Amino acid sequence: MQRSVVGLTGGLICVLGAFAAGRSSQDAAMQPRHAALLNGADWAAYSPREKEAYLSGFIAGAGAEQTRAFAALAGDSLDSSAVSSSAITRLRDGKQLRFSYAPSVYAAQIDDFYWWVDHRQRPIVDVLVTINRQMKDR
Amino acid sequence: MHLPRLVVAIAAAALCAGGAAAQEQVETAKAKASMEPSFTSVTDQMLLDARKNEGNWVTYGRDYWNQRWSPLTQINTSNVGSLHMAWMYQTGISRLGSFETSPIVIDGVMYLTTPYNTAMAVNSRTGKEIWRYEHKQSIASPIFCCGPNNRGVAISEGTVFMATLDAHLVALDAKTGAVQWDVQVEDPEAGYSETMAPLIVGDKVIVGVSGGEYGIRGFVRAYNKSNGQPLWTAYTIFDKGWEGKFTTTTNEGEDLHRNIDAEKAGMAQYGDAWQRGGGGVWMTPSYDPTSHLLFFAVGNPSPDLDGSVRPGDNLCSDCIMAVDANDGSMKWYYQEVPHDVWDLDAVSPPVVVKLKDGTTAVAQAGKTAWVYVLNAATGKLIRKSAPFNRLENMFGQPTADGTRMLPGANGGSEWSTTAVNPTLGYMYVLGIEQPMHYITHSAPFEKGKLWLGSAFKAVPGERQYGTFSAVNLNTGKIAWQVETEQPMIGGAMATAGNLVFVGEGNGHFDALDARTGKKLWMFQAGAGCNAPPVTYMQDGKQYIAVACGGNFQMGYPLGDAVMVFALPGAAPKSPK
Repeated sequence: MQRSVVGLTGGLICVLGAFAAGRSSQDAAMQPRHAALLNGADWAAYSPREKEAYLSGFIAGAGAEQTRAFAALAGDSLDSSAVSSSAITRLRDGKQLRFSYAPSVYAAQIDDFYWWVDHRQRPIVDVLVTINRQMKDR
Repeated sequence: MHLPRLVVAIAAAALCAGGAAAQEQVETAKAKASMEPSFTSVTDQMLLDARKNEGNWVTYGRDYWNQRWSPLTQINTSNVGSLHMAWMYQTGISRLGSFETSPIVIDGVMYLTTPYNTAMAVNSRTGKEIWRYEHKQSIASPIFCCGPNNRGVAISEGTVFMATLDAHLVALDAKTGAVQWDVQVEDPEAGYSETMAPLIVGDKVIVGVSGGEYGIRGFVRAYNKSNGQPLWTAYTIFDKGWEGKFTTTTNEGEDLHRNIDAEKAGMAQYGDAWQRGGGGVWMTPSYDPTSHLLFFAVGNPSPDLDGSVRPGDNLCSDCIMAVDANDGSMKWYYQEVPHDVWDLDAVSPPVVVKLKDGTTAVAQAGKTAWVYVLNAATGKLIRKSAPFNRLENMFGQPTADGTRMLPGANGGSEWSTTAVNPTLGYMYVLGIEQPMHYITHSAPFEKGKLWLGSAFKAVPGERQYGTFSAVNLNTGKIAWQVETEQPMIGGAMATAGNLVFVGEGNGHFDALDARTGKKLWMFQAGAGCNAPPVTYMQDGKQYIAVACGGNFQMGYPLGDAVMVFALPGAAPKSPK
């Protein structure tokens, strides 16, 4: 289980890194930053579409990494190109996706969280993981 | 000669005794039969005639007008003081929430629901359970705002309908609880949920969705009640014109303190915000069979408190909407709070009333603490009542120290159902006196944040209480008002016995004189009575029923009991 969590985190960072790089290339004034460091200040600067893109990438990346982790647990080895959308869909249909809610749901919760400026230093990834756990524990 | 005569006498006596025993058996069987529920098939005509049907409570608001008014008079102001408990039903379900079910009662059967969507039928004379159906949520953790709850079922012919937290609509066999069909109304993982009791209109079963706190686009949808096929959808958030006219005031002229220039500048970036614009429909619509119009209240825009990313009036959040029940086409709307950033939305279910001058009107108690009385044909405002709660800094902007506001973000009148006494022309309204600080995001976060987006905080040390008001719909004046220990949430029920029943968070279940507000009777239920009461007549005896299982959001003591009250002794003879 520990292994899958580590793998998941690595995958998320890849996805978030790509998102951050894409955003940075659009804005020359912005220094590229490691995706894991993006925080509430970055979040506040995103438009709703950017938030949705961020979260869509995060959720897709998490699903892909989870698929790989499950395959590894089953003794299979999948590289990133072997992760198919149908495999992720199977996880979703089986109610097994770790980040299972829609981007709009996470966006609303993160907006709430970062309403408070003293929360803004906290990385978005951490907030997402915390919020997801809170929602799952309801 | 003596011996045969004795034998005959003994035989005759035996025959008599046997006859008496047989007669007793017949009587017992008859009595037993009368205790058995009959599972009456609820026809469209029964729903249309609900107002005249004294004995049953066949739809959420008792009749299509949602008035929660019963013509029963057996329990009245002269004898309500001797009301006592007839029976109590405990669901036995350990997972508690806001127990807001409004029972449906038809010829000996009471249908109930629990916060996590267990539906059950019980004998309405004895409280004995007949069946129960436990809905298995399609996802492990459905997302819903403000605590788990369900407000009850709808029934038509032999089918009971329940909408669920995971945004399903389920049809159950009224006799057995067996599933007839089950459809997903929308994706629960996208923030959609269902808490309302559905409404039956002809061949349709109608539901609205909740989830305005999670970026949904709200709607009301009609399904074919026979097979669950969708028939029409009426979106509450407009794809065209959702920005409205950028009005600077409410329709009644209160300043909204909007920065219109900034909003207009944001249109290029946020013009598509309607796609996630909120506008949930929490409560069961009312319906006017004459005009075939459905009337429902539309909740807050999304995001709830941050107006900067949703420029414009955000139509039609915070609206009363009228749509044609035949095809879902919109007929009119009335927006109570354009561009709402205070969560002062429309949630209490609208009620159709006939005013003294003959006008058919729609009345709704707002979180703004006013009752809006609208022309049912046109949606034009006829009058707005005097405020039934204190108003302070209405529509103010947040500050770092907090702007003290009344009503706070819970209202006014929240989801509570209102009741109407049509003879007096009074609407009975539950109110919340909960001063709050509206603070900017620079204030430090504290644990125990409110559900509504963190920016409202109750004012420390300040008294919170409730109000229960009789609002004269013909004048807009407050006819009487009583204060309660805690903010009021739940619902009211009025009867022709000049009574109005209402529960409180502290477990009190009260009967008041509908004319004066004088408290005539009270029962301590041991858990919050935060559900709308109902009444029904069975075997010549009037019963009052209410779910007392508390309220999650307000922190009122939770429980799982439905309590049923009646006058002592046998049912009085019918005065034929």
